[in-house]
Formats: sequence, C-alpha cells, structure tokens
Amino acid sequence: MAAISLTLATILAALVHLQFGVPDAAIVYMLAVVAVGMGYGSWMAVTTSVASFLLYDFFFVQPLYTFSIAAPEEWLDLLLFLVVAIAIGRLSALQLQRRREAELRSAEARAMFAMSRDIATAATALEAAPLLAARLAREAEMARVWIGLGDSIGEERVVADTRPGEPRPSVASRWILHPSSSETQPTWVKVRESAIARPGAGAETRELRLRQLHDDEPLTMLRVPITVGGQTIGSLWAAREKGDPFPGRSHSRLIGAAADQLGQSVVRDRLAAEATAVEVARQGDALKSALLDSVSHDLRTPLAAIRAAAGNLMDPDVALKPDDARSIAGSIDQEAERLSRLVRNMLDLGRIEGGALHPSLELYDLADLVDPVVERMSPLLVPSPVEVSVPADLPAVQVDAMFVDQILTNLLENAGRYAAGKQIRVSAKTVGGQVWLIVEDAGPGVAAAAIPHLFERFYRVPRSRGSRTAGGSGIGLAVVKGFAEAMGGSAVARPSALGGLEVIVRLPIEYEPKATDLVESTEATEPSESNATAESTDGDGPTEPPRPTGRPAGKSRILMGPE
Amino acid sequence: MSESAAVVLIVEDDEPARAAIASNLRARGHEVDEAVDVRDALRLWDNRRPDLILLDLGLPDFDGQAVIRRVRREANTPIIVVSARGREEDRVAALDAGADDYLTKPFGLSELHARMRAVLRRAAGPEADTEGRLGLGPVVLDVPRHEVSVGGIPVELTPREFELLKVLLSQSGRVVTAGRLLRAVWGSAYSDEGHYLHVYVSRLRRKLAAADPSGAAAKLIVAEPGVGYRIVAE
Repeated sequence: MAAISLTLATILAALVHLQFGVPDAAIVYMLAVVAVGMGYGSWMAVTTSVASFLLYDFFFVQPLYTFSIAAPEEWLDLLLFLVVAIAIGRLSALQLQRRREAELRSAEARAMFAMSRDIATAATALEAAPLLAARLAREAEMARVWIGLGDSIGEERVVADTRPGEPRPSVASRWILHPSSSETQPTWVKVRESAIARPGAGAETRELRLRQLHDDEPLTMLRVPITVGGQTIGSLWAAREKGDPFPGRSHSRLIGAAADQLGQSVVRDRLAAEATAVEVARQGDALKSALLDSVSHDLRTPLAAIRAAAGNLMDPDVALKPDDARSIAGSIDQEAERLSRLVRNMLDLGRIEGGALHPSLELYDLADLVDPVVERMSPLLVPSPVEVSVPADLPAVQVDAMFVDQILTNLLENAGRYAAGKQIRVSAKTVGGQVWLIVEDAGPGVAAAAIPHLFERFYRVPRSRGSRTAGGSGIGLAVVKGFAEAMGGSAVARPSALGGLEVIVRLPIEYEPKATDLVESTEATEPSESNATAESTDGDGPTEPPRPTGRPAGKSRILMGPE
Repeated sequence: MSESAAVVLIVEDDEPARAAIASNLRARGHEVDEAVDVRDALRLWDNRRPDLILLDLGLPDFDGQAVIRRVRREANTPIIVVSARGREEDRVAALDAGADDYLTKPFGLSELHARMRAVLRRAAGPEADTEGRLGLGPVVLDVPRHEVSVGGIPVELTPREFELLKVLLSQSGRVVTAGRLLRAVWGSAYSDEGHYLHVYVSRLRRKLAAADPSGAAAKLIVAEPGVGYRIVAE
C-alpha cells in the first residue's frame, strides 16, 4: 500500500511538475503520508515519510536521478519536508488509533450493557449465569466459559456451561485475574495447579505461583474468582484455544466485570431470600393471630359448656335423676364433638396454608363417601329434614376420601347453622368432566354482598338484626375450598332455589367421560367380558390380564381386561 | 343393645381415656384387663387369653403392630385398633397385619360398642355351613358349586366377582383392606391397583341390587374410605 501510494504520488508529482510547471511538487507526497498514516498507523507513516523524502530527492532535486543535492538551500527545504511529513504522518496515525480505541470501547460498553441487562432481567443469579456465560464466550472470544459456585474450587457446583456435557479441561496451570485489577489495568497471574484437584480447604493457598509462561498447555485457562465482601463464593472459568492471542485489556475487563456482576447478583438473591423469609414469618404471625382471634370464642364456648355440665355431675349437693344426668352427659358429648370438629378444621387450615396437603387420590362412588357423613351429622341437624339424592350411576370420582369427608362435614354443619329448621338437601350430578356435590338449605340465606367472600379464611357473615345464630369461625368454608382445590376441583357458592345458600363442590372424574363405557359395561350381559375367551372357563387360566401399568387411561381399559 | 360378656384387653397409654372405657365396659358386664404399653399387653395376653383386644397404635415402648403380629401367630382373637387422625397408613398396616376393625380418635362409646358387637359376633361362629355355603341376609354363596343367589334368585357372577364376594363374605364384619382383596382375588402383582377393585365392587353391587328388589343386598358391601371394604352383617 505504501509502495502503491508512493508510486502514485511520484507520478502525480511528475505530472504537476511537468505539465503545469509547479516548481515544488513535494506537497503531493504529503497526501500519500496522510493516507498511509490514517490507514496503517504510525510506523508505516514514518516509513512513508522517509521514502517520500528519498523519492523526491531522487526524482525532482538537481542533479536529477541521484540522491545527491547540488544547492545547499535545497537541503533545508528537504529536511523541513521530512520533519513535516513525519509530524503529519504521526498525527494521521493517531487518528486511526483513536478510532480503533473508540470502536473497542464502544463494543466493550455494548457488551457490558448487555451483561447488565442479562443480570437485571433474570429473576435469580442461577438464571442469569447461563446467559452471561454465553455472552462472554461470544464477546470475549472464548472457546468455552463456565461458572461454578462454591466456597472453594473443590466444592464448586457448575451452574452454567457453554458446552454442557463435555468434560471440562484439566490443565496443569491457569491464569487468575488479579482481584484488584478489574477496574484499572487488568493483570493476569499465572498459577500452577499442582494442588487444585486435592479436595478440602486450602487448595487455593497451596497453588504455586509461577510468573513464567509455559507453552506446553493445549488451552489457556482463565479463572476469575467471584467474590462477595472479600469472600470467594465461586469462579468464572474461561478457556481459549492455544492459537488465539491472550485476552486483551478490553476482554479482560469484560470478564472481570462479569464476575463482579454475578457476585452482586448472588448478593441480591440472598437479600431477596432473607426478605422473603421475613415476609413469610410476618404473614405466618398474622395468620396465627387472626386464627387465635377467630377461634378463641369458638373454643371457649364449648369448653365452658363442658365444664359447667361436668361440674353439675360432680356436685355432691345436687341429686340428679338418672335421666337428667344422662342428658347433661349428652351435652358434654355434643360440645366435645363440636370442639373436635373445630380443632380438626384448625389443623387442616394450617396444613392448607402451609402447603402441606398431599391428597391420596383414589376412585370412589360418591355415595360411599356421602352416606356415612350424613349419617354421622344427622343428629346435629335436627330439626332440619335432610334429603340426600346421589344417583347410583354417577361416574366414579378421583378424590381423597378424608378430604371429601371433611368438606361435607363442614358444609352440613354450616347448612345446619343457617337452615333454621328448614330443609337441607345434599345432591350430586355430572356436569361436563366433573361431578358436582351440592349442599343447599331452605334457610334465610346469605346477603348477596357476602357470597363472594364466603370462602375467605376468617370471614364471618355479618349478623343480621335479630338473628340468633352465631356466625361460624370463618374456617370451615376456607377448608372446603382448600381441600377441593388440592384435589383438582373447586368450590363456589350461590343462592339456592330452596331459598338459602347453595354450595357447589366440583370434583374431578378420573377419566374423560365416555358415558357409554360405564352404562354398557354394567349390563348383566357384560359385553366387555363376553369377548374374553376365558369367560366360560376359569379366569385364572392362561389369559391372565396384562398387569396394568400406572394410571389406567380410562375406565374402558379396565373393563376390557379379561375376567 | 348389650353384647355377650367377654374378657376385653384394653391397651392404651392415656390413663383417663383407658379408665373411662374400662369402667364403662365393666358396668356392662365385661371383664377388663388394662395395659399401658406393648410389654404390658403381651404379658396380659399370656396370662389370660382375652376374647377381644382394643389396641391403641401409638404406644410408648414399641409399635402396636407388634401386639397384632404376636396375637395372630397364636389365635384368631378379634382386635380393634385405635389410631389418631392423620395416621391412616398405620391403620391400614394394622388391618393388613390381621386386625379386624378400627376406630379413629376421638370416638364415641356407642361407636365402640357397635364395633365390639360386630367382631364378637363374627368370632362366635363360622359363617360357612357344612355344605360350604356362606349366607348373609338374602345372599347365599355356594362355594363348591360356584353359585350365588339372592332371595333364591340365581345371580350370574364372573369368576373374579365370585371370588371377591367370597372373600368379603367369609370375613363378614371385618374390614378387609383393598390390598388384601386385590392380593386374594387378583394375585400379589395387583396389590396396588385400587382402580380395579373399585370397578369390580361397583359391578358386584349392581348385580346384587338388580336381583334384590328390597334393596338390602345392595347395602351389603360398605366402603371404608381410604381403607377397603366390609360386609355389614346387620
């Protein structure tokens, strides 16, 4: 390039000199010097300046075509030309250098900004790490980047790797970014890894520092410790192929900044976790005090009744007739049962709130679950008449039997409280892919404004004027909802056609309802079995049904199995 | 109302509960032994073979299951286990180990008496007659002929349904866990397939109900949610 521009400059100068008679064509060479300087840097500019000086002397200074100079004043001209050429060349070269630096800086800034964004938009440091590693590999031109978190190198757990699954290279030495250098002048310190693989603390301190470069490694291994408050919590590892140049200042800064940002992100995570723990504890406290607030009255009432009744029975001065004594004992029993239900609900609410519900779902005929509860609760519902209509041909529900028991117990207790002697109805029907278990009453009902809040914990229906019935503890329906949802169902309330409140608990059916499956297969002829060859012989014969694996796909599959 | 007088062993570490039950049973004419832990219970078992054992599963020294295993090695004495709510798996294990029935704390005395009557009646005599027939209410199951009738009307059952009804009837009054039923009817490979059982019980009930206009046969098989099934004798 320098040669081409010099040749062009020489031809141009000759043209200017010969055609237009311009006596001093030296200035034309300046163009070549500036062009080369801007394009190729300082040393090329100086070289071009000296070459221009010689060429001009050779072609244009008397005696022509020699390097000797006749007139002494020409000497001065030529020397001035040389000085100016060099100066202009250097200036042009500086321009180039500035531009290159600016480009590097802007690339670095872009990369830094992108990294910050990765960190800021990721929810946690663990989420940010893979993004960061990938970006670093791209921007800092690394063959591989991975990030390990742990108190020492031996305990590090890799949270991100740009080449996952491949074995991580083990080399005998690596470079560590000097901790204090990430902002100013990044310096890499070579360490020998003789002690690295040894487990336990102190591996780091046993690293033998060697400042001499060994060229026998296949990879250049780089490690940047991730530190938080002076304590190392992990490392950012990067590997470069041997052929690639050692990372420059810009790439080093980038790697250092990535490690710093990751450290900050981990700190942020820790703070967030602490804040969450505090919030959970605070909510737990709020829950506990609301619970105590809500149930203290409901706990004391039956206890007071029990103590009074027992005191009556114990009193030596009271001569009770046997029937009276029995009825007093009966009230103790009844109050104790009320207490028992309340305690059960409190414990269940605690489990729901604590996320400790693990329903054991099994198939049931809903009637099997409903009948015992209605039977158990009916003495408490007197004088309200209870009507139960659960059709026999309902599809089986997949539920936790204890949950359904508690749901129905609570709904019946509620209905009994508000029915005020009027009718209570328990029914069930299939709607879409669900079975609806419905409990409703013919009592005065609940104000429309209260209905949306019924399932909120500790919510009590405002007492209507003149109403004698005490509101519930605000736990029963919250448990109903919690249990229904834990089984994959839901619970809603609305005014009943009977006049009072209707609560619908939607329960999941185990399979997509294929109405024909169940109905046909329950015919006396059992068509699904008639095609089994074992029907007339013994079912234990050679056609043993294949052992069902896991969850049956549907009822049809079970019914098709040979008997 | 009143069950025949029996020797009852109560194994319960909570003193007030034990005392209340014991005094009630004594007042009803039973003889009562009281034990506070497994060691105590086994000593009293060796001392005087009781007619019935009421066993709390949460005992201070050993697991109550140890009592069931020991008793079952030596006798068929009815055992009713008492478990706390939330320990459902304990009671299934106890029933599988050979216990006859269960109660969940807190329970009423009337519930206890009902369970005691049922298991004592069962222990009093075998269900099958000399011809190998098992009968209960309108339902008669002829084991050698593989025939079932309800109120004299024959009912067509598949071999599995027949086996299922036979196992339940022969254990009448006892709770039979789902696992035991599955193992007895389908084989041990099926012991986790509760879905199977549910479908067959449903069909069995429908067939019995179809043959019995009175509706009594349909109510014969009662589900014990989370545990299994039982035949209700009364």
